[in-house]
Amino acid sequence: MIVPVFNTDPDFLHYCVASIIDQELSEWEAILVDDASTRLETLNALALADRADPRIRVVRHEANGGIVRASNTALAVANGEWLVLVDHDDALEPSALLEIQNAILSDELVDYVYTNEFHLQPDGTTIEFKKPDWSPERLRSQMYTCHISAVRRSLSESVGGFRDGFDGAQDYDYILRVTERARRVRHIRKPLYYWRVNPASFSQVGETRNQSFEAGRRAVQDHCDRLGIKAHVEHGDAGGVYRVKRQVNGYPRVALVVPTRGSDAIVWGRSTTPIIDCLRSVRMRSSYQNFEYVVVADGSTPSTVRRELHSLLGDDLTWIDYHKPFNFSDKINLGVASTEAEYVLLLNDDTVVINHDWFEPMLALAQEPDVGTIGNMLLFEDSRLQCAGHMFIEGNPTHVSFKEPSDDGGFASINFVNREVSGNTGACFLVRRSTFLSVGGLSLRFGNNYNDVDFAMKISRLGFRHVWTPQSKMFHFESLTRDPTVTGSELNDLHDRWSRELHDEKWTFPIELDFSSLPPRRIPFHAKWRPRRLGA
Amino acid sequence: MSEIFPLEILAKSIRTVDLLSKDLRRTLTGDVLVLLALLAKDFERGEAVLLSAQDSSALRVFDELKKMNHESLPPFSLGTKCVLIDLTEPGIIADKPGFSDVIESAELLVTFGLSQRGKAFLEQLSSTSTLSVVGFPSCRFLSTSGSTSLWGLSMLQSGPTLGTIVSAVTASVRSAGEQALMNELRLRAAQDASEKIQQLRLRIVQLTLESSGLRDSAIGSEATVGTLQWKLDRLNEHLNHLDNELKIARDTNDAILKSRTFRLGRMMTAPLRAARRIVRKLR
Repeated sequence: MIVPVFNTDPDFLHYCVASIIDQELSEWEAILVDDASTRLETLNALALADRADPRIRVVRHEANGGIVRASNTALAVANGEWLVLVDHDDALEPSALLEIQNAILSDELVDYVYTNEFHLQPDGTTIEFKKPDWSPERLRSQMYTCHISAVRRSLSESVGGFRDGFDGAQDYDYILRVTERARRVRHIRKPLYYWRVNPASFSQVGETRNQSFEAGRRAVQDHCDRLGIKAHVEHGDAGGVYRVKRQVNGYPRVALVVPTRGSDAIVWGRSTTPIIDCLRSVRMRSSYQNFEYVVVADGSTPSTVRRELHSLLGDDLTWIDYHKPFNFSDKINLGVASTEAEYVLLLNDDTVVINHDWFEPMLALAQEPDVGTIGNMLLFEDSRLQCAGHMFIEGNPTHVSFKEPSDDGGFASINFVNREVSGNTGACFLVRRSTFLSVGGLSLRFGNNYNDVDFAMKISRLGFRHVWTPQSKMFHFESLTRDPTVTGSELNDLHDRWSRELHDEKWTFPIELDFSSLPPRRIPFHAKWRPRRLGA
Repeated sequence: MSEIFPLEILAKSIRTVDLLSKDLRRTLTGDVLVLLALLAKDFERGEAVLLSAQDSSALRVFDELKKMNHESLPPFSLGTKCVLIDLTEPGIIADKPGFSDVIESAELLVTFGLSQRGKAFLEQLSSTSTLSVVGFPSCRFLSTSGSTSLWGLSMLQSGPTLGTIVSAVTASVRSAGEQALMNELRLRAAQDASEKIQQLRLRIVQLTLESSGLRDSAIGSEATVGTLQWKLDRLNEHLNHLDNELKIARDTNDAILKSRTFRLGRMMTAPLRAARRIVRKLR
């Protein structure tokens, strides 16, 4: 365990050291590197820690050199095969190292392990930070793996440890470089760490925040450059959140496949024809224009709609008459089969583009060879979030951040970051046509609902990942133009196929963002953790 | 433009004019040569003039013309696609037997001379027909007076004048008639190809959808098998757990039954149980 220390509150350091000593696993060593602390209580606490257990070693710097230097000193003197990063004011669950060891032993290719963590509030309450499984896209937007992080020593050495010039974001830069080379990354879905939300903590101090965030931005930019990702990294909508603005390769043809029946609806208090509003917004607002508009229209679609769309879209319009009973999947499949465009965007007719550069971020992500579908931020009429990707909870698919305010990043800023998700809603997602066809398109078994969930599962089986991006925004007046009823049989059918996968909550995100409504949860009391005279 | 050679009499009633340049030879088709040949058919003496390109198409026309009795050729019949009409006296032409059939099958109409009647005739024709029309109204001045034909032998014999007509016809045919013909052929070919492509596309869409259905079904079946296996594993796990629980319960039960406390208790309650049995029997 690597623990850089500098003028730490002695009580916090006591807790930290006690939680290390209390580990159920006995084979460990802890390196506490004191970066020339000047606080007497800290020095006393370190002295106690040094005597508390022979597996603890305290190394002192004569002069303060910063956290990077302290961390590198710890790396240099550590003997273990694995390195576990621990902050000086945090604490570990007693089973933490044992769980990590089990994960390492279960797969010899694992080079990096991270776990869930509790956020320990000053009042003693905790909130669990549930993290997704390995999510490289999210790591490019945010240092989400945080604690505990365990790195294979050989890999750490090969990347050269921590880098100078990234103080405040040194761990972010380090983990980015580690994961670039890691053969496999493992996530333990258990909270095994207590991260102290401390107003006095380094990451919280106002004057150094901007430096830390800028260091983080540079770390991500370097990471993109190393991987050959053509992108410009900007600061995001929250501190420590980054916007990776990727460049599109070339100018490929994209088919928008839009099923419709051309009906009217009331939007924002006025009667309108959603399909026309939808395609007009794409045509008029988009900075990207190489679209083919494939409209699959029910026989009942008014001829005026067709005429209006033709005058709006000209030769870019491909009109397909659909005369069978409604089946969303069949209509989409027909549309996709009828185009030869390289990419297809499934789009509901009750959507409207918000930002003019909505499409480029989606396309740039779709050009990654291992990306299956890309979804975007969909908002209700009142600007609350309609969908920010799919996730599964207790075997049931649901929207991430459903009905949450769109201007709020949510817990851990999940609404502000690109990230992997279980799938994307069929209301709007981009996919390679070849990928779409390779799994047989949308299943006709799910004519109305869950076809997107089923499709995402099929794609995932091929090893593709699904990505959601907030850089693309649209309104989605959900189910304005079709029957929103979900039948039990559709859910049963979904479980018939994918029950196992639906219970695998790889991409979980907090549902409840209003913490005031959560019952306070005290930190589990471990008798041995009580501040005491260590070694006494 | 084409080069005009002196007429050469090849047979009693056939004249040839090799007016085609190398460029034209590449582009003019047999039909056009027929047109040009029959352009000269309307001579008062009933002579036909073959404009030879000295290529296979021209030779074919030449052979056909030789086989034909030129007297049987109607004055307006021009091969399969093109019709030449002297509109100086359209009534006369239109009255000829078979004219309407020829017009119906024609795709290109080349006219010479344009009288008032001829103009009315054209207007009427254009209102009922969709065929392309290439007109040479200015050729009228070449007509010999009193003749219903546009080109008389006298004209033929005056080489330069004929040359002028032929040049005009050739140029126009190339620039308009031939172009129209070629366009028509191309259009038809394009339409055919387009129809075939459309049919193929529909077939591809149909096959794609069928293939998609099969793929989805295959993946779905595989997933269902996986899910069933997973459920089976979970049930087995649960079953093992219950077995284990049962075993523990049995062991506990056995342990209790074998315990000294239990046996002692059983001994102590033996009289009571015996009394109960007696009471039950007495009732």
